[in-house]
Amino acid sequence: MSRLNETILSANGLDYHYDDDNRVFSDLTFSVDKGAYYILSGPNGIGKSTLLKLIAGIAKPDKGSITVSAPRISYLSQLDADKRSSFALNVREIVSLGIKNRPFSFMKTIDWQKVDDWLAVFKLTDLKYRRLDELSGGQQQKARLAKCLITQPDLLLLDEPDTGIDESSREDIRNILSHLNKEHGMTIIVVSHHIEEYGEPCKKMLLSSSDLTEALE
Amino acid sequence: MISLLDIMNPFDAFSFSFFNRALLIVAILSLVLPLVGVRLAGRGASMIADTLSHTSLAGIAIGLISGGLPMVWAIVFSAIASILIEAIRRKFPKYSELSLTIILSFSLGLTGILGNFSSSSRFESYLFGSLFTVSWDQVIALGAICAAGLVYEILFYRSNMLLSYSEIEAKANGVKVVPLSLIDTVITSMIVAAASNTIGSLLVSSFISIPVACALRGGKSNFMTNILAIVCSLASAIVGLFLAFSISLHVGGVIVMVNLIVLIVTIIITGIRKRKKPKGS
Repeated sequence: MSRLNETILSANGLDYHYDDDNRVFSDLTFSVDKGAYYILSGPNGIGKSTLLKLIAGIAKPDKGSITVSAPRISYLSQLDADKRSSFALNVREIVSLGIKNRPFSFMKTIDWQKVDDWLAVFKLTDLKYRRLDELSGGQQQKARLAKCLITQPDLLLLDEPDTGIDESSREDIRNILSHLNKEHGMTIIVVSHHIEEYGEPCKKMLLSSSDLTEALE
Repeated sequence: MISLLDIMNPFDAFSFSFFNRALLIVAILSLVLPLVGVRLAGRGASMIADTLSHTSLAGIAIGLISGGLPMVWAIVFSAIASILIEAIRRKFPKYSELSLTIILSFSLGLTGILGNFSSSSRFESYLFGSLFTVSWDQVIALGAICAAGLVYEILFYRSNMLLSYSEIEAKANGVKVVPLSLIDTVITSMIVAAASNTIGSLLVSSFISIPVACALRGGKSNFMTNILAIVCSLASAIVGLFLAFSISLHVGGVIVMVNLIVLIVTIIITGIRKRKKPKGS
């Protein structure tokens, strides 16, 4: 899937298994061009989410290596991936959490204007002082996505950003992603169960146990 | 015995040094314990405080038998227990609450055995606390530990907020999740053990959780929830302290009851306000 363009990500001989009987993929080799926009599909349990985690550096492969040449990477986990309550955080606080965290970063003044600008992009300005648990699924997902985008990442990894939300919110999210890819050249990889809803400019990719290839329409 | 009749003016209480020490203790605890409570509740781990406070009892029992300082033993024992809890949680991530039950069972079993060898009246004072008998040494020790806890809560405020939002995304955002969780649990154990020593092991978790429950009813952000929890805790503690002093009742118990009354009133008021709000606003 690599072109002659600049490569932002390359994976060589990746092996990963949850336990001895549950291997998700082996000897997986691929590369991703800078500015690509991929929708990742494949059978359940093939390791789509795991692949995103490997790229994000959250998980380590059993074998093989991944080289990412993006200074800023953002990763959106599945909505209830780790069952945290999100507690009393309001929308503004959630989005501000996207700003790179460093020890003692309480001293760093958060650029609240930037936070508000991103909230405006997702039409969340009126809800900025609402707690996350007071929002609909679609609004929550938009707030979480704004958190990922506030650093304007070079590589954006989204794990099912459109699961459990209404059609209009899914469309809003797709439009914003298309704009970021076309106008800002952001490299985007999305795992989605709504693959049929994505059109140009994204490419549909199919993950198998040993390969990542362009999906046939 | 001091009774209501003896105290014409509640401010007379300030002339007693034991009252001032107790006031200082509840002020320090009201500043730090709610912050611990909000952090733990955000991570769905409020029961850790309860487990650690019971664990500190085993440490206190060792201290009483060995003739050492019960507070030091409580802190050491709770810190070791907290490291074990974190290790078991990581080993069984899907059944993380099991670690609390395992450590709690071990600690209570050990406390039951060790309790046979120590004076029952002294041991009882650690169960329910005895705020009016704390010494200046205890105030200083508690102050030092809580100051360290406060510094931790401020320095790692954003990291902990991110951790309460999503552990996976915290990892992706560069937070060292495993070391931070470990430091987090050890700091919590130290604060809880030191607090157990003054307000009683059985009452610590109420000091941690009830103000958070009150604050959650009105807090519109994580920051505001922290502030409201502190205000709620401080107000209940001061009212409870004066009340207990005036009518000669057990201080810790009265403060917990005042805290619960505040919680019930908060639930009623916020419930009425929600009803009054027109739909769709």
